[in-house]
Amino acid sequence: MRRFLPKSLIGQIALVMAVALLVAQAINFSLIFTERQRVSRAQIEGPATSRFIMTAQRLAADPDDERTEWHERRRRGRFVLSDASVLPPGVSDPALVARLRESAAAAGVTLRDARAISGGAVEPSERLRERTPPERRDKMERRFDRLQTLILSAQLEDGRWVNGRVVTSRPNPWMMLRPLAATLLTYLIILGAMLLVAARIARPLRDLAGAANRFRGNSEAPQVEPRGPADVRHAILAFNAMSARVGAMLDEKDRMLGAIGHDLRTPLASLRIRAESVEPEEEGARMVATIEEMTSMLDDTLALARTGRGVEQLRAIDVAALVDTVVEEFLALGQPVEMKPGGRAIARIQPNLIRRAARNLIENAVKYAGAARVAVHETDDGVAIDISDNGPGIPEHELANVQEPFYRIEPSRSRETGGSGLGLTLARAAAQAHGGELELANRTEGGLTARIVLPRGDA
Amino acid sequence: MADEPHILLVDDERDIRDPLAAYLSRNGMRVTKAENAAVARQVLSAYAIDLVLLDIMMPGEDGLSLASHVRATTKLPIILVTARTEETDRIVGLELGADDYVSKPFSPRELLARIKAVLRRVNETGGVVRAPDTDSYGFGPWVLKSGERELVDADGVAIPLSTGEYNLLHALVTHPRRVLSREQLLDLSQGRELAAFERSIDNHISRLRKKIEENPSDPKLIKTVWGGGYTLATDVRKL
Repeated sequence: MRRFLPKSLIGQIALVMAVALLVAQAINFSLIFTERQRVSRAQIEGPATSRFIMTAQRLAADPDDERTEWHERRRRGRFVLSDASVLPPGVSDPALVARLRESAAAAGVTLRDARAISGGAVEPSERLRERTPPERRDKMERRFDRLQTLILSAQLEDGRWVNGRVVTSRPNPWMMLRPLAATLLTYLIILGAMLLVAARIARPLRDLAGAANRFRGNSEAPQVEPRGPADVRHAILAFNAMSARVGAMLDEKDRMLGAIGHDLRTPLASLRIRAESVEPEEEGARMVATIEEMTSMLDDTLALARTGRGVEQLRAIDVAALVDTVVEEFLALGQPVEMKPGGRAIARIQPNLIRRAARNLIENAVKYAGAARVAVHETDDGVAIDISDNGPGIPEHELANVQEPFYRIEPSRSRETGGSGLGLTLARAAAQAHGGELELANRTEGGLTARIVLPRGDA
Repeated sequence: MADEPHILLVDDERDIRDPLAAYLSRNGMRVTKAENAAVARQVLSAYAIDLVLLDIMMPGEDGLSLASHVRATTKLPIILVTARTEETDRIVGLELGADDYVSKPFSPRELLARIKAVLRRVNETGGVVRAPDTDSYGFGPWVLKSGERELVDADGVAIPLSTGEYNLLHALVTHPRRVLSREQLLDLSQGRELAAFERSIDNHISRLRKKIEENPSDPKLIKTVWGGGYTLATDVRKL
């Protein structure tokens, strides 16, 4: 049930307003309805009961008068003095009975009992039908449709009953149409106005949320046009100022990282050149290896500091081909890395970041297991890059730890195996920067599988 | 050109300038050093320089600005050196007309090899520097963008290529409907990167086919010419 309820601000306001208004209007309408009905019945039934009482009075008052029947000429009422009521007890319409007693009281007549129902339709007589020209017959019948008969029965003080049939007009069935229309119109106008106000609040809030989501930490800090009510406008202005500040801080961080990178690369480059002329040659080669390790550490650190910063544009890319070029680099260096052939796997990614992540994972596999197998395949909602090896794997309780920066399972072996200690951290950060994940799992047949899961984006 | 090629080395860092100059001198080059763009301009007007080795990040006038000055006034080949590795720098550098690009820290041996390769190419073309290609080529459903060095399909999805694959494909799309022997392909595609071509042309062709052919076992774009080599069997639109 809950999931059918609207979640947005405008939806909830609309729903609450609509329900509350509906209840209020329904109560209002039913009050009007009862009142109108009461008035209308009083207008119709009042004169009829009065006439009935008057006639009953006349019939009862004159004991010499032999007449037991009274016909009203024009109004077509028929009153009969009798010993019994034409109505059985218990079928009466209480409201009509009450009105009958009211009229009796007004005329000073005491009734021992009173029964009354509103009887059915009034049929035009055969004669009237014949006398009406055919073209006017419809109109005539419609006039009869608007009539009804009231059957009234009252017991006088002497025990006799006056039974009467009185023709009156029927309460207009369309009487409530106008109040109903008015109620609906009010409902729609108020609801529309509320929705308009809600939209004025909700739309800028939605813009704000969208801008916050789009904020990728690059210098193009999203600015939201301030609109809507003053409170919302203030929130938007505050957000704009904050995203500008955050953007400026991140820009500053980037400039700093760039400067650090530049300032460290220059002495490294200088060392690298000098190492070429170091004697003996093995010593020089060892220096070159160390310098290269430092360089890759520097690159990893800078790259890690910049992930999630959106320095690189997201682009639709065949991830399989991208990873294939990384595998090709390893093959060119004669390293045993195998790429499982497969189809295209397209996702919107930052190619250089993912290339670096894949390179780190393959490097790890080669380093710890001597060889790597790489496969890229499409998943239901994205792309997965699998890098598997037949190495010793990682103890289960260490699987989470190894993704932390500079964490090493065996500190004693770290110098031997080298690496920046940032490889997995960077791979994880790269995956997360895309809204994906890095999954490490020991394979049942031995070895480790590292999987980079990437959502497809809007590719 | 004299027997010893004359290199102008422009770098604001003495720690790079001096050892690099020494290394290049030991390897048969004549090196003139300049610590900034102003000095470099003086040297350029005073000496017959064969190649300019240029650091991008320098205080004052930077390397890119000097590179465009050199490109505008001379035909000298330029190799850019940078401390950054961002792709955009490389593209900007190559668009300015630099012939090659290395990033710090670089292997001096590799730099030497690149200098020699660029000089050899200049020699072969009679002193005319071939400006690096930044055009885009449309063929079949594909577009090969030389500036970004990437292949894009009709939907705008980029298909990353290794350096070797890119160079080979570039050679093919710039010579459409011509039969290119393996030797010609090697010559045409080896220009910029040296390490990339340890694996055979055939191997790269089959990798390329997997990426761009609808059915790699029945290629429609890159066709094998019996006894001759390979040909790009489609028209190429320059975009």
